[in-house]
Amino acid sequence: MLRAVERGEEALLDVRDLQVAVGPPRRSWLVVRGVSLQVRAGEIFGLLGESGSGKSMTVQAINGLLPPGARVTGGSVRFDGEELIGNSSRRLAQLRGDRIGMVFQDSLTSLDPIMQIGPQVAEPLLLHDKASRREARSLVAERLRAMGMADTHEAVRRYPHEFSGGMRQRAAIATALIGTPSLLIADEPTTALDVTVQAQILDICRRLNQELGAAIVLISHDLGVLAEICTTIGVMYAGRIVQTGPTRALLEHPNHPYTRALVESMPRRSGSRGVRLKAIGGEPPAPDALPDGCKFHPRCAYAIARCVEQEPTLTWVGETRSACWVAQAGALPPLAETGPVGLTQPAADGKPATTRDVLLTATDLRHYFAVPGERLFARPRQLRAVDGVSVELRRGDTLGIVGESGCGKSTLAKCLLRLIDVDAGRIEFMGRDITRLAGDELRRIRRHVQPIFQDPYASLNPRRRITEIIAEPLIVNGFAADEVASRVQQSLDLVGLGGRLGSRFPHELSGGQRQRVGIARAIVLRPALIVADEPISSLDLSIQAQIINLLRDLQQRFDLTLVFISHDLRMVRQLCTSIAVMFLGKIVETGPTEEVCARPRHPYTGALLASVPELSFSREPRSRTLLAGEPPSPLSPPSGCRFRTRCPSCRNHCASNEPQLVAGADADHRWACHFPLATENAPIMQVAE
Amino acid sequence: MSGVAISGNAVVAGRSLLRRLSAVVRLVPNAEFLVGVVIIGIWTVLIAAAPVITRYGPLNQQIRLRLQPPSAVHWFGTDQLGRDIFSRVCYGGRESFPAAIAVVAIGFLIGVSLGAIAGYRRGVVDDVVMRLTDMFLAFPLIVLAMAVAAALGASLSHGIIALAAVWWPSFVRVSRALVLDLSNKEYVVAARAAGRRPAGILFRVILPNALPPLLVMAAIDVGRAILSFSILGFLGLGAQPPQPEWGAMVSAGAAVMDDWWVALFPALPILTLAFAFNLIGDSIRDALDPWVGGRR
Repeated sequence: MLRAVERGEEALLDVRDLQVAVGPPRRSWLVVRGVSLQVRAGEIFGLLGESGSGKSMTVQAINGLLPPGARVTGGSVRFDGEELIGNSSRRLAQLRGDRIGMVFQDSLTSLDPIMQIGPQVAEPLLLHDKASRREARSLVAERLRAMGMADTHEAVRRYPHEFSGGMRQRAAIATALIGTPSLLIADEPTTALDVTVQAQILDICRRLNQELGAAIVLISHDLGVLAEICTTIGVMYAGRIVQTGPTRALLEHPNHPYTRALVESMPRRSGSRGVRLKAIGGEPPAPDALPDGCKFHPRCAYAIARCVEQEPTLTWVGETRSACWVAQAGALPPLAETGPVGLTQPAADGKPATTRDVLLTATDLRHYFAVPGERLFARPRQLRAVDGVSVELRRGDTLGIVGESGCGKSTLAKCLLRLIDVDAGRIEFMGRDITRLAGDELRRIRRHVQPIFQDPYASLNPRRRITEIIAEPLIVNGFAADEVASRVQQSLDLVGLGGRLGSRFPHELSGGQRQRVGIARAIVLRPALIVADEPISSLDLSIQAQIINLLRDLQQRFDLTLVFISHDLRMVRQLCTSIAVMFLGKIVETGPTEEVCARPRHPYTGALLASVPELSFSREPRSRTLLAGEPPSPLSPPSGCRFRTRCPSCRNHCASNEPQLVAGADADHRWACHFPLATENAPIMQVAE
Repeated sequence: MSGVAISGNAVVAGRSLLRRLSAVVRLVPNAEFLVGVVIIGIWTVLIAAAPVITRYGPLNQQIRLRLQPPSAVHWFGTDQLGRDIFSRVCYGGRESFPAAIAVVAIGFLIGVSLGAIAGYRRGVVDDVVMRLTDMFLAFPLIVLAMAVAAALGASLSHGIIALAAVWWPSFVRVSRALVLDLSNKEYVVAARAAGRRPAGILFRVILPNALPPLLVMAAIDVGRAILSFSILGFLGLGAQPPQPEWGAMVSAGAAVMDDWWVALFPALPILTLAFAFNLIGDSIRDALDPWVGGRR
């Protein structure tokens, strides 16, 4: 006879009013403030939230794996009818790895570095005496194959550090699934991975869910990722679930202003460039200083008096449950059809590109790193990080450089900034050859080209106040004291950091504020060119849209030329007039953004576009061409076309002949492929069968 | 806004150093730190006020009263020549204490400059500096110092030179490692992109960030230097008789072990000061190191 859980009458995982507190006993505060969620057998439940929303703490409490200093202070967690809160640690250990599998974000630290992959994957089986060594071995091979690892004989003998991030995450998922658990908890499993690999891993999760019937709780900060595979989504904000329901209903009727803002701030495929993203103002509250009433009301555009006084609870609104007084009263206006609103001026006042002057021309740039040989006395090898890249920028251009990790995009940025020397090629900037400039001459050029860095924590000197940090470029370049003071204040105002923040130290600021300081420092000299290397990738989703809007505003206001480097095609598409796609040190396709995105010709561009998680409003999973495998090592790129080992349309010709960039009908759109994608049949345009 | 120092570089640097030190002191209100400060404070007062609080000159011999045990008149007793040990300990500190600080200060300046330049320039400069440092580190510190002191001839100033000459290598190692690490920080790259000169980057951006751990190391080293200086004195290679010096006094007292006070009281400041500087260094390090601090 089937049990109630199996008949689907009772939830497999039933969390009720869970509370988690951190901090010293007398002065503790709640980071999870009464979370209830039900996951049925075979369901994929997505838990969405920004950093500090309590999503990780929630699942760690479910698992009994809370970090020291955090403790459950109330509520219940029933797994398959059994209470987990207060249960013995021995019983919890029995369940973990056997009935509940767990996958962490960082596979490099979650796998034991001195244990081979095979024994590591098999460990849960052996710990729970579920299989003999021989059975375990064959099951490990089977699971690894299901993860898409071809040579399992080879793989089981490897150590984690010998694997790429994607392969490690596969091994970690295989470990979590080896005991055929009925529940898999995955905490940001794809956040550290490239988009093409992320798409593969999500695909695997969906397939395993169907084949093994394991329910999955997937945690992510990226609504796109959850929308791809989840059946149900719970949106967390400030320690509570603020809206939950079936994925499609939630996306179509985001009946909570926070969910709505997230949906609206996601760049859409249909959304065109030059349009402001609808960003949420402000920042998420700190868990130890929550506002009264609804915790979202300070950032909410629809807040009414009641929101300030009383915190709403989850109540059915349509097909989902929402914790919002306005939505519960039916007063939330329907979702605008177009998504982002408010057209702004097209870049550079719509002047045709060719009439603007050329600001920077880089010709055939190369930068090689020497990597020590693998064996003693072996000759050092060359890593061709940038291998023959040419770029032309006109004043007011916004160029997006896209590619996966290791493709050389950051090295190219450093070359353009002249922070590292180029090994070959030529950079002409403002009509001057700056390739070999050094000393004072180079320093005089520097004020015209400024960087914005990825990590807003590492890029600000921790021992200087914000005003001193922004003033540094001015003082170094010999500006007078009163000029410095006024320019610093002006820059602070421009990036939206007025008030008294200037006298603070970087550690007193949030990530978003710090990145604004980084931008203020970059614009304070009024440079002609700004090179931004992944400026938003370490920020929360709601903050990313703010920063993109800020960059766009500044770019238009000062007619800046902007090189925007990112792995996130969605954001590049929002901001940039043209795109260059890099693969293993080379540009494989470049052209106007709309053209490249609508009619990609290089298979890699097509695959990148297909891998980007999107909000889809159709019930069917969209069919798409996913890339197999991972980028080859830049130490030994394949002969001929470098992409051929991953290319779905590779032929013999590709192995021996390296394709050059060729132009299509539109001379600006160029690609390096012998067998380009047909223009009518771009994979992103395909509809589900 | 007007209160923020962006008016001049020197003002900024001076203020930020003050701010940093005061921040460090505010960070460590713990018992260890206070005990260390109190011990050092007591000895500093005794040493500084020696002419006022002592009744006998340090060289005053009263042969009749030789080897008197501690009493109300001679608090620490008298030595073989009838000199008041309390006076000699207080006056002795006027040699050992400043000498130890001088040794660390000279070693710090030489070591940190060499280490910073090696770590920042890398390449040949780095190789030369580091191999030289390795050569010095290969010998036990005190043996090398003895050799230098013996070659120069025994005297207080030669003792300082001898110790300073062997003290710098450890600062080179640590400061080079810190500079290497900090050079890759993005805010250092940002300073380059802003157009700072290499010297400005090294001294205005990198070194201020490397300073806290180096200062901790220096604090602990003052204690070690007092010990080392006393060892030189004990071996007869430091200050010469009849000048009072703690190590030399312990050495003299060792000859008359039955009269325990002669060796014990000069040893007291050596022990307690070394201990106090260690306490202070440790507590500052704990306060600066988030890991150790978090576990307490």
